[in-house]
Amino acid sequence: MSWAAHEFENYFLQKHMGMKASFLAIALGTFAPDLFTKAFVYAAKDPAQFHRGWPGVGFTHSFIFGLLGATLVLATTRSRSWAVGILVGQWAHVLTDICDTAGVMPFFPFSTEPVTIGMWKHAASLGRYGDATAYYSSLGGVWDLFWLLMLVFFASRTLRPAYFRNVIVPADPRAWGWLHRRLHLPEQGLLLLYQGFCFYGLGRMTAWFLRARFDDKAPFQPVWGGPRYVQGNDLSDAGPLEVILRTSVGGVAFALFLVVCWRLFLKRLWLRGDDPPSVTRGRGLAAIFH
Amino acid sequence: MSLGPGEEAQHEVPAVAPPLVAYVATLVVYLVLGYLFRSVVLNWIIGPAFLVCSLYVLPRLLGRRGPKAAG
Repeated sequence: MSWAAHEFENYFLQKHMGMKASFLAIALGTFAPDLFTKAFVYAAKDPAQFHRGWPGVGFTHSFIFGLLGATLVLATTRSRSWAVGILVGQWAHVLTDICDTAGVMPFFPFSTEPVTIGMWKHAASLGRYGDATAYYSSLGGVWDLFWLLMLVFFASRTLRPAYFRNVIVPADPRAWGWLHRRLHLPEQGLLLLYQGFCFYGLGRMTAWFLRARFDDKAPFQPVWGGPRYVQGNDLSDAGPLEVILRTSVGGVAFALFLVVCWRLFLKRLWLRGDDPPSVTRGRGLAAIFH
Repeated sequence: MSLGPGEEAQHEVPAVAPPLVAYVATLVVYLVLGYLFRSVVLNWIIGPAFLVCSLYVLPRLLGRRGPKAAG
């Protein structure tokens, strides 16, 4: 699993989506796969299987889960920027979690084969603290740093007050307006709330890293598949060709499923959906992703 | 700031962000608290809310002015 990378990605995605996606929805989308399950993962008999596998709650780390969430949001709120935000945030989380050894089932239920590049070990079997220590002793910590640098060098303007005022709020005036009224927060308070996700990412990354080094004194092993002191926990013993084949079949089936859903009801939901007044969309996929 | 559905985005930006030193000080405090009380501080609720609580809510609760706005 990734830790702070999920917070930094939000801003990067927001920069590319502009006004077409709500930042709060992107943040909720990136939290969604772990939101109701993470607390139970550390108590599970086989945490990796429970977290990412099937049987288990691994379906939360699949594209269909994001599609389901986005569809429900579109059907109930009619907000396109929220639906797109949920979809993009959840899919980003799925893609990011491919990096650890447990992997994800992106095309569940059409394929239950875990897809992983095994960059660092999924270490939930060590408990929450052990998991954090292992993550920040492996390439996982470097992955977080990579996303922080991506944010600093390519999307730092998203953290500025002008961007918040001219893009973030106009993309989602209803939610920010609700927070403004409900929490009695003026613009400065809302800006700090918005910047708080980045602050949290930076803070947790640094604090866990320091604890891993100075409190737990774990060896720092930023090598592929590290850290070495954690046992391997791959969920599948299938070879690369088998994984590619099963995943490809699952991917094609998922694409067909998307087309069928679009024709049956998604298009109707999308067309009756609303955009905030200052948002303009093109046609086709550009209306959603560009 | 545009907060109503029908309002247009405002392009002039008056000072709303606290000075950089306030962010740095808050981060240092968060790191110390996170290091000492990790289960309480380093979580999804306290973490994202810490900045607004430290730089906006707390100063007002204490009846003092918050950090001076910077351009």
